Amino acid sequence: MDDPDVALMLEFQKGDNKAFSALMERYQKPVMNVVYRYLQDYNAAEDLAQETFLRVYQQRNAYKPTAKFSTWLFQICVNLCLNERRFRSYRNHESLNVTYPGDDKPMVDVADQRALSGEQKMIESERAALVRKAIAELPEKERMMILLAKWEHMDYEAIAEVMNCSVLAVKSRIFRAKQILKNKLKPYFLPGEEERQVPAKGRVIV
Amino acid sequence: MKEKPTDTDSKLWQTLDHSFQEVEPSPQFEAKVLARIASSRTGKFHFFSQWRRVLAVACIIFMGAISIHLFQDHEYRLQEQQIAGNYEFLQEMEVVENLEFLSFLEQVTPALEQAESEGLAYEDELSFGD
Repeated sequence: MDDPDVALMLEFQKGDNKAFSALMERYQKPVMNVVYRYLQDYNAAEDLAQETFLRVYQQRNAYKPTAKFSTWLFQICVNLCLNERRFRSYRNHESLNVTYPGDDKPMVDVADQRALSGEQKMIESERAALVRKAIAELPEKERMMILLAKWEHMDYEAIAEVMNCSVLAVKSRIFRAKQILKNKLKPYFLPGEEERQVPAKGRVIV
Repeated sequence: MKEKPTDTDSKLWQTLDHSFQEVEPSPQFEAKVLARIASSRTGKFHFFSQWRRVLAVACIIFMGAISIHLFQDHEYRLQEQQIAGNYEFLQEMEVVENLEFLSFLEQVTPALEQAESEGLAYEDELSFGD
């Protein structure tokens, strides 16, 4: 068995709880970050990440070593995220961490600002908030696929397996998501566009 | 299978780079997961939710049994009424038939008496009627 995660999972299936702890140690941060980027809510992210490991524990016997452990784990995680999002949209719940039109600052400033001047900090913070908002406005599956591709560095096959759809569907959804993001974030990444005004705020970035 | 990213794709990717800072799980993360596992194994909520399910199924079975019983009772009563009705009908029919026979007798009696008086055999007279 080449994959150490699969070996750990098989140990865990035999009843070795230390193997489960090792897997949790290894994957708690990636899982937490996927959920956090998807829901943009720290508390919900921690809750769902814990729920993911609870499901791993409960469904340990359903795991077959034919699949990569990380794929199986992210399948559980993604399903929980999609369910949570549907539940939230049903309950019309909005996270406190989401920026609203007219807000100058996001409630949680996440960009690394240690090396930036005051004005640059503001610009970076604003840019990060707009990017997060653009990602949050993507359709559910497109958003998850973009997150898995961009931050988890998954290829199309892995994403297709995690999201339980075809590779073609992944390609077309990611393409669509990129188009949406490009349209929304055009002033921030096209050459010569950085000096232009921020559309939502009307502020000139120098 | 990775597609070769275009220039705008890489620029978009770079733009996304600093939008999220990595978050760290709380130090009690593992302990909280283990607590959840423990409560899912022996948790009261789980226990009660199981019992709620059992109770719901029992209620459905009980209601079903009552419905079937009431339906069967109703059917039985209907059958009884039908039998009673048929019996009455048959009784009425019998009475009617008897009355018809009496009227028939009334009609044929004079003819029979006349035939007897004339010395004809009873059978012959009857066969005459056919």
